[in-house]
Amino acid sequence: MLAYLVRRLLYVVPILFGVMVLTFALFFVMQSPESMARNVLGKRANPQNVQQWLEKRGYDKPLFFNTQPEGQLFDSIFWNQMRRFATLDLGKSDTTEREISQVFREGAGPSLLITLPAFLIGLGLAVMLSLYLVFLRDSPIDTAGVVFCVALMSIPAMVYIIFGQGVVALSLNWFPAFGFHAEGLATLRFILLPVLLMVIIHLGRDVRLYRAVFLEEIAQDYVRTARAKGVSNSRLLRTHVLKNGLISLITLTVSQLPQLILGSLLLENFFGIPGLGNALFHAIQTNDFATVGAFVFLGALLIQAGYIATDLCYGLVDPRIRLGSSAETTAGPAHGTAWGKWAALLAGGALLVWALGSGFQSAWWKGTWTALSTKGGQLLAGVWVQNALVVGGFALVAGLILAGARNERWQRAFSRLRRDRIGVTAGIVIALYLLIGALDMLRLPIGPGTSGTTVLDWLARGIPAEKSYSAPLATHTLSVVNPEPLRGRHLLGTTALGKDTLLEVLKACRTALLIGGLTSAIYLPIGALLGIMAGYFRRWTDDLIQYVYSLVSSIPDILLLVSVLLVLGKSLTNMSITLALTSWVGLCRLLRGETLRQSERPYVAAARALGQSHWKIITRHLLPNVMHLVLINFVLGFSSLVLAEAILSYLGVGAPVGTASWGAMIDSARNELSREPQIWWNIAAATGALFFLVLSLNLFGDALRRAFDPKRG
Amino acid sequence: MPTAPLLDIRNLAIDFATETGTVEAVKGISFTVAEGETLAIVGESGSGKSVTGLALTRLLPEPPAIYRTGEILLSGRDVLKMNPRELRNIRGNKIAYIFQEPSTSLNPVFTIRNQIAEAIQLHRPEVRDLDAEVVKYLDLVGIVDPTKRLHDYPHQLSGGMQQRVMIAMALSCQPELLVADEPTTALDVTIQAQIIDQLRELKTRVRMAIILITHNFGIISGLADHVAVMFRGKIVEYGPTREVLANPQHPYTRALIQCIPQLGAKRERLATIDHAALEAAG
Repeated sequence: MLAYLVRRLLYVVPILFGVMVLTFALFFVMQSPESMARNVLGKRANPQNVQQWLEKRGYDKPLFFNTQPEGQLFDSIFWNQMRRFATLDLGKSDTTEREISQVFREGAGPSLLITLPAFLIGLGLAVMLSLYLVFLRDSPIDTAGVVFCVALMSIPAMVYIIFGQGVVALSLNWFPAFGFHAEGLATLRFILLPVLLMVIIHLGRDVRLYRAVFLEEIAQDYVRTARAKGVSNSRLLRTHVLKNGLISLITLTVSQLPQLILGSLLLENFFGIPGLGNALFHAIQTNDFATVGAFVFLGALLIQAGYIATDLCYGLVDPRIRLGSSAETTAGPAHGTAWGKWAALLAGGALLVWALGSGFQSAWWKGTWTALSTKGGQLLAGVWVQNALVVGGFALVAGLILAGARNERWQRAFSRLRRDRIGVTAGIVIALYLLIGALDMLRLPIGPGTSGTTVLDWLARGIPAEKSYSAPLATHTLSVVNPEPLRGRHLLGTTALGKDTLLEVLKACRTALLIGGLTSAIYLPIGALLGIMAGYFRRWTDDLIQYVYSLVSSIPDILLLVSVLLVLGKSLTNMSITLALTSWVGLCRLLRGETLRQSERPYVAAARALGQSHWKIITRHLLPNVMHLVLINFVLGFSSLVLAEAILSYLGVGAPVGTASWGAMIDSARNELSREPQIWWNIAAATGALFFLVLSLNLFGDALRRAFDPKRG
Repeated sequence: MPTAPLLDIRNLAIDFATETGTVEAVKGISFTVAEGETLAIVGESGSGKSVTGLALTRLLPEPPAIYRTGEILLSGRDVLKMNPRELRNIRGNKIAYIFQEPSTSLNPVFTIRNQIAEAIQLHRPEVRDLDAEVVKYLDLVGIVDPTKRLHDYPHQLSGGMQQRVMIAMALSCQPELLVADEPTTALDVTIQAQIIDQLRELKTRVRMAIILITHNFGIISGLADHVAVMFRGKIVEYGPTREVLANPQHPYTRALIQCIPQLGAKRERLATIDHAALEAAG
């Protein structure tokens, strides 16, 4: 047991080191210390201030090795940074100059006051509800319950919060809408609504997940034995299935536990709770790189703590597992056995960062990059080039699906899908969104400039622009003092800039689809290829790939997304690259597991015996057999990408200003709802449009999964 | 007729609704089991024998299973007309089961004591000392030093031991009928023999009827009083074991018997079953 713990802790070292190198590469290599200084100082940035700022933090030193005559070799930004993190010294905030560890100490309490009760209540509620659904499995209530869960999942978190704050707190006056005072029982008044909201935000996802876990248990042989004994259905669930299911749930829940300290970004910001989520929100808003970096490091530490806690819980609860002997733990590939391999890996990684670092900072690279991107931009700006890209993209997806459909398994799945009423409906809705998005991507050579006008804009050319807000179907603008007559009626009203809300919502389809499509185009091939390679080649290829994805998944997603976007800057392409960075891990892990199983099958051995090359085996034999998983992952992943786009835009690191985006529309509702009279139509329209797309994608993805794997609906 | 049989199955037909249409798994079968009698149901996989076994207490998941016609009379009462409470009352209590794969049929996270005690609690609430009762049955099925084994988890036992625990669990409520569904298939050969011996011994010690479901003609002689041979959802041959073995009437039965390897026989390829020929013969 002790030996196990020591080994497990040792495994944390390479991961944390990797995280540290990654953060360093992000903040100091992808952007130079100078640009960081200019970002932080903002308007006050002049050469003198910048130099002062750099010197104060030791960022004027060389990046990796100090080769100046009187300097010590390791007196560089990299080594100093590593030394600080290794001693758990988190440094000072770039903007407020406060000790970051102080910020953490003060923020952890209020954060936990919200997240811990919400976690416990949510867990209990989700387990009960999911067991109830399993009790009624295959009944209409079960189906309705699942659809309801998916619907709950398809509303972005901030909409719940805005609604909770706006309606329950402000209009009904049931709870204080803002503020936090830790003063005994009275604290309850302040935390009740946030806790409630957090429970609701996660409820749909959790119930759906736990239901799947319990359904898997109910298919086990021991359930039949228990029923043969005369055990009643409800007792069966309460004892046999619950205990086995809870053990499976440990992986899903215990590992999240330490992360609760980090609090909830959106909730704390909305309710003014002085927790870590709020601190992070402000750090993002003020370009406080040091704080964001420290959050990344701390997040990684907490995730590792969660993994270890998960293993320990398994050891305590599951009689089959005795720690130290079993491989069924979250510890990574090598289990600390091959230290030489680790050392080589880390050295290689550090070298790569160094090489990239020197490269990125060189004038040659910068010049080339700027030249390439402007040239590329010009090249892609043409009307017909863009149209060709759009048509090509759609054709590629259609082609891949048609190619897959030659497979007998796919044909069977498609014939099942056709009889799935929910799936077909969802598919039609998705097709409608695709159509609208495509209309806004295809361009006509009309109007000023070379980029032309999109078909959607051309179709909507009759809709007049107004000067300001107006209510749906109103005749005058919304102004108490000076209402002006409108030039036309607007079905869903107009936005702050007088744009037609309906048109704006439709145009945001393009943004969502573009982000989803572009991200998928990046992450699907990478995730699929790496996953199959890890499962097929095993050994060091597997170790390496596992290490990389453990590294990525050991940083909380939102932190990674935010910090990368903070450095890269706002643009749709950057957002896609960033989202791809976190999205490939799930697919890779899934395909690795499946390929491990497939490789055991005789057909792989037969192919090898025939002298097929590895590449041919991967593309001709393994890929077709796991391609359906890629398809399901694509559809379900698309829905989370659409949601992520909205949330990132809302956090201010998403779509650039001027791009129509549901997240941005929801963001502006913060002010719009507090006006008198309230402007509700923008958030309602944006949420509605987002909701139906995400809901349909989720339901369609579920239907696909059912079609391919009817046993495990 | 002197007494009503313990189990009387009349014209039982069971369908499965699948997405490609209805599959008739059992097509109108009839047989009886008297008190203390052992009936072997023999057939290859897919012949409907396991479905028949599970149907006796309606353990088949419905849907997809549909009981199309027939009656399952247990001491004169039709199981197919019972409500859920009555069904639970006969499961384990009147009819108990042993399944093929003991390693997955036992709940991995409960001790064997708790799993056996659960059955006793359900059907014999008058039993005070559950531990002693569990030990009694573990002892009965030949588990050495049962008191020490009480708090073991299934994974700590060997396959043979696990199957003995399953048998103990089945016996613990003193059922009138034991359905053993391929009880030895998942075990290795020496353990198979032990389990069969165990069943044979129990048959004499505990007066209880047994339905032994198997694909292996080899293990039934000396154990079964009657044999029902199932083929494609129908009983194609039904009679006293000795007669069926000595003088099989149906070509399928003859084919099955030819599949048994004989000690001292000439070394040659074992017979396989020619389905096309059987199909032609009807």
